[in-house]
Amino acid sequence: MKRFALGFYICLQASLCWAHPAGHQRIAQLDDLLAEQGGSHAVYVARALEYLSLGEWTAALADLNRAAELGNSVALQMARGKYHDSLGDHATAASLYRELVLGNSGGAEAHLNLARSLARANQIDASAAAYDSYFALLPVSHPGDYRSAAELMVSRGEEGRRAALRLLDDGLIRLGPNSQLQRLAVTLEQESGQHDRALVRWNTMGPTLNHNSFWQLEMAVLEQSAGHMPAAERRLQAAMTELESQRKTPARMGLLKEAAELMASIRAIR
Amino acid sequence: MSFRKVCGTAITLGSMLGACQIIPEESSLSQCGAAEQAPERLLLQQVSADGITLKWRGAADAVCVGASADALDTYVAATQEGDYKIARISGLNPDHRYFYSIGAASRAPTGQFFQTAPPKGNTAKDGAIRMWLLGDSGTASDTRNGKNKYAGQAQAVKEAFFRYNREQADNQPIDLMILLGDNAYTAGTDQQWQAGFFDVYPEMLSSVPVYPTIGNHEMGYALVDYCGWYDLPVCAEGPLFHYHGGISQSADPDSFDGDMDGKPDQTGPPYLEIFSLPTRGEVGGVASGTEQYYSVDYGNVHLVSLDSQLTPYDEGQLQAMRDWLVDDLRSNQQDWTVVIFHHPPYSRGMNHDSDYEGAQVSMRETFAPVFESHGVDVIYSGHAHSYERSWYLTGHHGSAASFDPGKHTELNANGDPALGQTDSPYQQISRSSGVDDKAVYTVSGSAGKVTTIKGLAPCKAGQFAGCNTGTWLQHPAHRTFDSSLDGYEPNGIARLGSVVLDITADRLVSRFVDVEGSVLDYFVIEK
Repeated sequence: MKRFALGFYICLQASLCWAHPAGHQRIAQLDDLLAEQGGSHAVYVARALEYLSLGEWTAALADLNRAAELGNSVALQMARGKYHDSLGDHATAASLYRELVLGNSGGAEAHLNLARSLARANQIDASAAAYDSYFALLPVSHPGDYRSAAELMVSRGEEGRRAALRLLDDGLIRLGPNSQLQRLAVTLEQESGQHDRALVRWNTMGPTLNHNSFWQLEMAVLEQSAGHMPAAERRLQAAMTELESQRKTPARMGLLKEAAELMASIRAIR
Repeated sequence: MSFRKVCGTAITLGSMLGACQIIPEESSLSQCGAAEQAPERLLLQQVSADGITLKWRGAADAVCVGASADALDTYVAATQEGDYKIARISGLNPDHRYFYSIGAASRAPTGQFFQTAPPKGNTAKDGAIRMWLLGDSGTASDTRNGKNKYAGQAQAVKEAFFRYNREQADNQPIDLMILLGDNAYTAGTDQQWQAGFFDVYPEMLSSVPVYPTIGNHEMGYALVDYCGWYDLPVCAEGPLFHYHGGISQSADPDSFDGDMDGKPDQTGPPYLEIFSLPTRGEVGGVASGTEQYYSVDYGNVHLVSLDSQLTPYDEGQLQAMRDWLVDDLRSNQQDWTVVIFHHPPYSRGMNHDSDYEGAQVSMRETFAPVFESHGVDVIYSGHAHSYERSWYLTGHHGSAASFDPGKHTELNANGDPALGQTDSPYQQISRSSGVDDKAVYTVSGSAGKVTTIKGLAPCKAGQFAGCNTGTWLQHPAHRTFDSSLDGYEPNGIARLGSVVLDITADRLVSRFVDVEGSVLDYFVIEK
């Protein structure tokens, strides 16, 4: 404790307290701390997580076991879950997270980790239910969480794709019109040949995206995929007209070129 | 008898909406005859051309608003959100001054007024939109063991800026106050926001809307080893672990630990409770779905606030933010685009070298190409406690060593990087490329303290902080200064100060105003 106070005092004097030690250095620091103190539950857990991030599974497990000998904690349980996830044993990981969820500990993070592990374990329905719990637990969730969840589900085939779309739709209801989520949903519809559904979905984003020329081009591509060539041409023309009237940026110039090429290819087909 | 409309949470001035109740004039006037109840944490949020959000803590549960300070005539009931009261006023006239009373009095106390935004696409009727940008200003709350070594510094920066504004800048009103992160040291706890922000700028907060961005010191406490930073004699005995603000490696608001117990508080960061930020494009811009990053329109300016804390820590959230930014910028047709976030893509400020720090690298590699491709004009960050501002940049996304002025900057007639000052301002459509592909990056993190290398020994092998790296304020992407002058370094200035941004229809001027009220650097971009 005295050393902590001394270090804190020196830090105050040095006024240089805002740097960020690189991750790889922490393991050596934790080694030193454990060597000096002879073992601490929290530090073993911390070092196990560092080993996990470096892919050193054996060392991570050893630390988790040492930590367990000194007691149990939410942090240890969570770290053990991460260890099993890292090794591909998602069922074991999920059971560890489920214990936390059932014990009403671990907060939203436990629900999220459970959902992710179940998805990786190909338990799509259970994963979707866990995601439901996670998203229900928080008044507002980050769009990136919906996206990550949906992408995990998609990797599980057609059933996962449907679950992903349900999840994205739930996110769209909760967050409101959201291009990050709807764009992924459009991609999923396209991949399964649901071109008209994709078109309807992206069309709903028009007001949110100010019907901008990039949105118009994306609509044109979707119209083309759905076989609506005249509509695709009209969208492209609208995009090109708008782009020609706007300040030139690299993105707009690239889009104009892309639109012209697409227009030419559509006209060649017709 | 005349009639007036009263609405549940918002009153519409000058138009009739079905959600409002029509009541006799006398009844409404009596509603605006209550006593003013001095609020805590008064904050103006989400100002638009036709509305604004008033937010406060305290007993008052309504406001009265009017175009005359002596005759407030529009009553608006507040809603409760957590510890705060919120009243959204709508149906206002653009670029217009309104007065208000918290508690619904009929007269507004001195200093309680606001100006609505100019109509979208227009500059302000007083000639320019003026924004005041504060990076790392929250040192008034950095009190440890009863001492604050930065006491009075944020206050001094504020007073110097007021003096500058009064004496050198026509005393033009400030339209927006912009926070560049680290505005409540050391960990962004509720108490630290009070001491570091609300107690320092009360006269601003009652009349100037605020837009913030989140910094590392808003993310709570985490455990760190001081010996990873300093070559201290005590470190010979082993590491020195301690809870510290500013070093959380999480992008997740739910991870916020404000009481140093090593566990999330389950409250999220106070930042997200204090500010009411748009998530659904309420004030222009594309809906982001999160308060962690957002955009707004203000007159002819598009302002984007990113969360650079996200960048190295969560790939899914990072990608979501990047995709949103692309959609937002694609939808933007404003005259000028200003982006703010905390971690600077180019910096060699003390302890924050953008070649090495993850968030800075990520913002440069992942986001700078988006800015350049989509016509962003200026980018402001903090984090490093000094001032640096770049040349007119494009295409430099690597380390400092890879910077090539001939390739990455706008050059002047002599073939040197152009300064962009009055005699030869930068052009929004670049003279060299013929397109809008360049931007100026400013690091302004000295509104509360300055960090320097004075008294530091050269770094030893493996040491990366708390020592002299030999490259302090020498990032070649930043403009050069005469380093023989006190406080000036080869590519930056080590002085307390803040930035003021003036924007008209065809001209943007950015100035660094130091703690003496002097302008130490500026640049101009013209359309």
